Amino acid sequence: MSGVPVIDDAAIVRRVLDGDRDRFRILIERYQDRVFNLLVRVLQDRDTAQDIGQEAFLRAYLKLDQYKPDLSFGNWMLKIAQNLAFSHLKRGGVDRERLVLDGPEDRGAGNLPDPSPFADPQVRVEREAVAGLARDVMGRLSEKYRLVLTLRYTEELSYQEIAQILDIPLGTVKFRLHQAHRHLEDALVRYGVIAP
Amino acid sequence: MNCAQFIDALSRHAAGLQDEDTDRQIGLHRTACAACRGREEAFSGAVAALGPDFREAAGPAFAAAAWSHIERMSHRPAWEESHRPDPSGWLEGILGLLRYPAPAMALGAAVVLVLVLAPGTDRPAGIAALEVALLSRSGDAVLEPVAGGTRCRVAAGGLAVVAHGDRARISLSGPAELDLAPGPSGHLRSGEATFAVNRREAGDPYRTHAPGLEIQVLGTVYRVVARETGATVDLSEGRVQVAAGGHDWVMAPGERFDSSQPSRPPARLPGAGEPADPPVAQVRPDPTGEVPAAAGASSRPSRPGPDAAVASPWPGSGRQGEPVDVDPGSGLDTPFR
Repeated sequence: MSGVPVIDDAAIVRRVLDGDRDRFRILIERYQDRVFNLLVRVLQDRDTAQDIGQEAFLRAYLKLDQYKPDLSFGNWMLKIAQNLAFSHLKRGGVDRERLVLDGPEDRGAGNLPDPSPFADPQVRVEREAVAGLARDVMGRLSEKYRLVLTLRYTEELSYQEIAQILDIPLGTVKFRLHQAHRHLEDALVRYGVIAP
Repeated sequence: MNCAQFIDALSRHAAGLQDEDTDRQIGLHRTACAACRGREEAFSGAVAALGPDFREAAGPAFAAAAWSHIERMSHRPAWEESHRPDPSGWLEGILGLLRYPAPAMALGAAVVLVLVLAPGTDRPAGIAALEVALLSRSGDAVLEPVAGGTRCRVAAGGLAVVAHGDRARISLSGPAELDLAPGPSGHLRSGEATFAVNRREAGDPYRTHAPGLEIQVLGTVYRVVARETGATVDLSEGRVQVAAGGHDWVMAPGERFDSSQPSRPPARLPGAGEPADPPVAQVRPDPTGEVPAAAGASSRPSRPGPDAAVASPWPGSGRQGEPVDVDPGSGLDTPFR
């Protein structure tokens, strides 16, 4: 089966830098979902994610000559997007009060919804319910844990790629992921999905 | 490894923090213990829920909006500036050539020949980016750099006057957000702004964008109110060309244009008096970007009355070439010079 040849990102970047500016639209189309999803997960607001996503592509466009292919273009976009998202958060662009699970000391904080629907061990927990619970718990973690979970599981990136995007050591990536897992496990225990 | 150790190690294992020996022991315990196997499966199920299926799509309008944002904010001089080769690279190249005397001499001779024989050419002068400055404010108002320009944010109840180089003075009534590009263009993201714009270069008009609307300034004072559904423009002085929904209109002073009804010509504001200009003409897009001059455009426009939707804050002394002090107290009394 022959498919339509796909122009690789590096070739598109070269053409844009050579003056074929409209080619950049291909890169927007190609990576908009990944960028938008990461921003929605971190910022938890679709409108803000739209705005910051547009800024991310503008930033990439203006700094295209600084792009180095040691990072894939998609991962470079994620790096720009997460930088902009955290800059936005630092400016107080989100209600941080609701971000309750920020570290090991917060584990077990009573901010999760009433676990009664799952507390009865006789109640069979459907897969959808577990999925919903996992996503709910993720939404209640702090930004850095949401980000690392998104990069690892939604984007299916390696630890090394995550470290490159976040500009942090590999060990820090693993530690953050471990902490995020612990929060997830705690919630599964609290809701009776798994035994204590 | 017992069950307690397995539970303790599970999340570390999933995060890649374990060594090979511990991973092997986890594997052995998993095989032997059904309860721990069930626990790991539940955990894996939860993690799988965060996989690619969980990705939220950007929506069909995102790419077009992002490209439009790039077009607005990446003014060509800024683009050329950011992509200009680094002079130090040239220097390194020349120094590198010195290691090869023969080719360097040949190249040098060729350069001299071209300089002697070629007719003089005028190099385009670099266009300096327009500086954005906060002239006065009351309440919470900040300028912050964003990719491709400067964002002016004014909180609810606040008022700010911003200079966009020597091309425009802009009064913002909070809550409002305005992006100003390095070139002569701005994008009112939300809120209300009154622009006083100096028409300087006919070929480089000042442009303002608002939701669903583009305004090309022909030397003027106008107010823009951005809403979720579109934007309105109230013209106090001069002329602007507005474009929305495939329609282009030249507005006369005392008129309002609503981009949510782009096919309707600009209407007289209540109390604005009779138009000084002939009825508004719809203009066809001109590839040169020139706008046909309306007869009587140079006459002083009648101003909106006190009950008009726009109570113009601009005193009559605001003529081009005449410096005017900014009153930091009122915020709005900022006639453009």
